[in-house]
Amino acid sequence: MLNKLIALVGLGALPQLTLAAGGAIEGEIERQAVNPTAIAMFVVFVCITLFISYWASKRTNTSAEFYTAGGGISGLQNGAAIAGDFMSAASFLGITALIYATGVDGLTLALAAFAGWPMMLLLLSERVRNLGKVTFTDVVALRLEQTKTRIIAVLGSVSVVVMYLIAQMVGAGKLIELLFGLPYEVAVIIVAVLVMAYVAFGGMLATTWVQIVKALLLLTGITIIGVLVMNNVGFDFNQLLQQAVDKHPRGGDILSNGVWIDDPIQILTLLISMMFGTLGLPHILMRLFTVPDMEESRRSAFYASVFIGYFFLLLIIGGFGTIVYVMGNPEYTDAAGKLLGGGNMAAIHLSHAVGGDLLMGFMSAVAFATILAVVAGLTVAGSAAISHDLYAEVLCKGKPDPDKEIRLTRIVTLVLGLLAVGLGIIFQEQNVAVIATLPMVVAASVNLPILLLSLYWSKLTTRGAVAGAVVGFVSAVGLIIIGPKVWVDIIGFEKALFPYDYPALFTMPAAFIAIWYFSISDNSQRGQVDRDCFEALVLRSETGRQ
Amino acid sequence: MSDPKDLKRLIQKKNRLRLIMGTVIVALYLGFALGYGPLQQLFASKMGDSLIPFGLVYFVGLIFGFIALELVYLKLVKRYDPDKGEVSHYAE
Repeated sequence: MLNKLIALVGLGALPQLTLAAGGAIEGEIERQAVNPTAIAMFVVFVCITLFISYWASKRTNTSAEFYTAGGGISGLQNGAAIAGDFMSAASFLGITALIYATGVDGLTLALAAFAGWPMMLLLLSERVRNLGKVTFTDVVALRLEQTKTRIIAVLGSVSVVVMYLIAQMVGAGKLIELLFGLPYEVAVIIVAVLVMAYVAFGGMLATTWVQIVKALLLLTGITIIGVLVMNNVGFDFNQLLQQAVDKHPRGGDILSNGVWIDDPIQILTLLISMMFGTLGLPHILMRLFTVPDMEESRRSAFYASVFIGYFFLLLIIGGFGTIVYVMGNPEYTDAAGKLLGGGNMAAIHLSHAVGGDLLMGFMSAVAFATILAVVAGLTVAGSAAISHDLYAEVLCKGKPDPDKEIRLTRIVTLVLGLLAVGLGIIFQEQNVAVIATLPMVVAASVNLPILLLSLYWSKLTTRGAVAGAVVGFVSAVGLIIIGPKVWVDIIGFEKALFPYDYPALFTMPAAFIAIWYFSISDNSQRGQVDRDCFEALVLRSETGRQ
Repeated sequence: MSDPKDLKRLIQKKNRLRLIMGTVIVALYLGFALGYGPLQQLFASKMGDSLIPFGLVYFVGLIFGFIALELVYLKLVKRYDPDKGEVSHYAE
């Protein structure tokens, strides 16, 4: 499909986009010359965030403070941090590049990345916050059999975190190579070392503030770009579209859907995967525990929607701005019309076109900061899954030695950092699009069905939850393997056995059906206990904890 | 503190609100996929004399609409929130 598009657009410059807002950057990378402005701005960002980590480390002594910042983050702060966690480099560079290549089709990915947030507010923000302490596994395990449920939920969490982490690290290496002219391995090590410093010392408090700073910088940068682009067309959006249509080889077609993907089922399954995948991401759900009560949790989801929505609205201007100011400009394209540095450089080139070296350096530094913030959030979630869910709750039966737990948490953070470097280097030649697809589909097919039904369905039993998780995981991984990205792109078969890139449209219902069937047919004593616990759980989920 | 039955009734109302608003959001969201199928012409059609396509307006409308729906939910849901006494009681 993408090859067809490249031929259609005639640019040869289409980025092999990672189809996940939280995913990574992929595509042909041409290392750029060392960019001193960008490096100087990035060093300033690193100094500020390391100071934040030092400040946070003085306030992070207990495991509760490490995992959830002691529950002292306000709704507005948490909303900004969520936005900082969620608005990735792929969103900024990838969606802009997709609009550059295809026009309004790029908006589909933006909408998919945004739409999970209203559902997060409605379905999860209150109940998850009131029932859990550290991870979403706490919520699921509350009414079901602890050990089995925690193990299955931890597997779901860790697999999502690790896959997401690989995608981010590979994307980080390539992006930094692209923007700063640094070697891939050096870039991966820099990211891991900085993230280990933020998380191991400052825990969730440092991670939160790094994400807030990053969100503010990204929104500031994209706002400046938006204003400068609109200023150049006299703040006339129609004029911007007219110039884009005149400049783009596809002309008026860039204002119609179907250039990128022309199959409505492919679009439907992408929309389902992204919306419901967002609701099952462990590092995002974990942020709901950092606020003092359910009202602040609701506000968190609302403010996150506002920030993320604003960001995607501005990407429309940025995206069409790249067509007007970058496409065909010899300063940013070669003789064949291909973007210098690769397709993902469209947004960065635009920042230079409208704001010169200073704005380009700023946006490059922001893109790097973006990766640090996302990886930091993933690292906190990964270490919580191991040290809280597995060690404290399963191995120590909920009564761990607090000092040992916090020590273990820091060790797990360091191990995750080293793992991230290793995996980033091992997977550097792999198709990152596949790795980035998996976490969204697994989150939608494993984590979300268990979490949602544990909150809203009285007949859920442990047996049903375990069966649903297994069906969701196996079907998600299986269909991705026999789908186009692995079966054709990696293994090399001519045609995929399963035609869709994102299988959540099929795997998520399969998980729900498995949970339903194995729960209603569960006549065990444990099953009855699980059902009996529901009413008390609902009352608590709506009244909360203090 | 209210009777547990009253509390359950409030929870039922809150769930109904969630269900209605969630259904509206999912329906509007998945409606975007129609722009790639039976409504492709409509999504490509221009708004008045401008070049702005309906698909772009739908996208912007969804973002503003969803945020507006969230505001409505935040306003309405407060009616069903428990009082502080109930929070203390059930937190135990």
